[in-house]
Amino acid sequence: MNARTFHPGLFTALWLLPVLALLQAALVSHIAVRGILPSIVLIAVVNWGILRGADQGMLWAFIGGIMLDFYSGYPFGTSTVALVIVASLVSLGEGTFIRTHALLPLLTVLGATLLYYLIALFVLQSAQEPVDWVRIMRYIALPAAVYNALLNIVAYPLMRRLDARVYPVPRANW
Amino acid sequence: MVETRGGRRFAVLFLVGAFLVLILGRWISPVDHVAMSVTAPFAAVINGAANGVGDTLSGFLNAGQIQGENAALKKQNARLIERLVKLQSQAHDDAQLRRMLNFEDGNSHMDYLPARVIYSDPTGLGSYIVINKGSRDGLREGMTVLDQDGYFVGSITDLAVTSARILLMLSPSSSVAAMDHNTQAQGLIEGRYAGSPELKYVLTGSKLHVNDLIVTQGQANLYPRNLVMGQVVSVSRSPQSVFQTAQIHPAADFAHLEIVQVVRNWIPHYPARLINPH
Repeated sequence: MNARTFHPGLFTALWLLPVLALLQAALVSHIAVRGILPSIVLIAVVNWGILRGADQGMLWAFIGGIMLDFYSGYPFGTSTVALVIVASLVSLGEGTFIRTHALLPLLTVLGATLLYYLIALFVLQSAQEPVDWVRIMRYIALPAAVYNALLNIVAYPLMRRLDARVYPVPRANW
Repeated sequence: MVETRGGRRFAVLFLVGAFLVLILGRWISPVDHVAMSVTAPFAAVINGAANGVGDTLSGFLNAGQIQGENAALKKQNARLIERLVKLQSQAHDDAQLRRMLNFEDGNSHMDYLPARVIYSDPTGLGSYIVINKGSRDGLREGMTVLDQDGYFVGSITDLAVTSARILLMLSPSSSVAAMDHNTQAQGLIEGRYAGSPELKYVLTGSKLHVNDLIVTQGQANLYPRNLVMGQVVSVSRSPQSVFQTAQIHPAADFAHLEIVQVVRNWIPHYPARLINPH
């Protein structure tokens, strides 16, 4: 990866992730199901990591995390750290393998959501915030993970299309 | 422009960067306030549009349920009018007594500033909301926030020029001195993630009953007193414990919080000798 090829993903992240974070903050309460909120930023970051690998996934995680931190009232950096670690672990599974199996992007988002909450809670507890691990994992994280996984049925094909637009496959000129 | 997928050259850089953001986050708060102000108008537009679409859709989908609710509300209204008449006569007597005692009740002079909720905590933990009024409108940190019916919601923790962040009473970080309106039993209401708040540290000797209203105590002048916070759902006592705990059903409807009121003329008086909140 050189600087030139890095730019399309960076530019896309710089306009898309602030918009997604804003939508997540302003709209989530309207699309919440029984109080469970989806995380469209996390879905975008994980999918981009699957499609584009570790560097791009973590770049998106870094920008997306900072955007989420602007909107949340928790210690600044909580979402950034959680998303970057999640993106780094997702990319360990090698995007090629995940991309070739229809269900794996869904399961990856499910696992990534649970991991995101675990890391965020760890950070919050380290910052002396009161954390009820079992309660949050059971009533917030697990339902959110299922919700995110279901949303990814729609989101993953959209992200593939975005990937194809941002990084078009060159056509051979005969 | 072609790129091979993968690549981990920058991975460590992003990890280090993320931890630096966390460590230096305290010093980023001025930027955070600027971001709150910049994004507030956009969030207000998106939220307003979503409210409009949501109201239309829910009105269409829940027409039958709304009819039923309407009938129930009419009955409830009739009962409330009856109670109101009784209360008005009591209030008249009460006012005379207050005048006689020269009693100054802060709650009766409250200046409310209505504000719209423009976005909520995106992490899903549900501890914060942000409103479209800020320091430009005379708000200050610590001011009390009520819902549109006057029920306690929380207090302002972060302030930008055109927006303010409210810590909800549902948050575990929130702890508000409260009392049972009937029995005067005193305790602290603490929020819980994904659950009802609890009234804690109530002495076992004090009386707590299911359905009792819980109101703010107003101690230490942090909040106005007698603001309705919720109702007792259940009480748990153990013979070994000095304290009893009650589950509280919040009076404010936090799932549909769209308009709130900030009590603008009640500025918390922190005992500077003991606490320095800023």
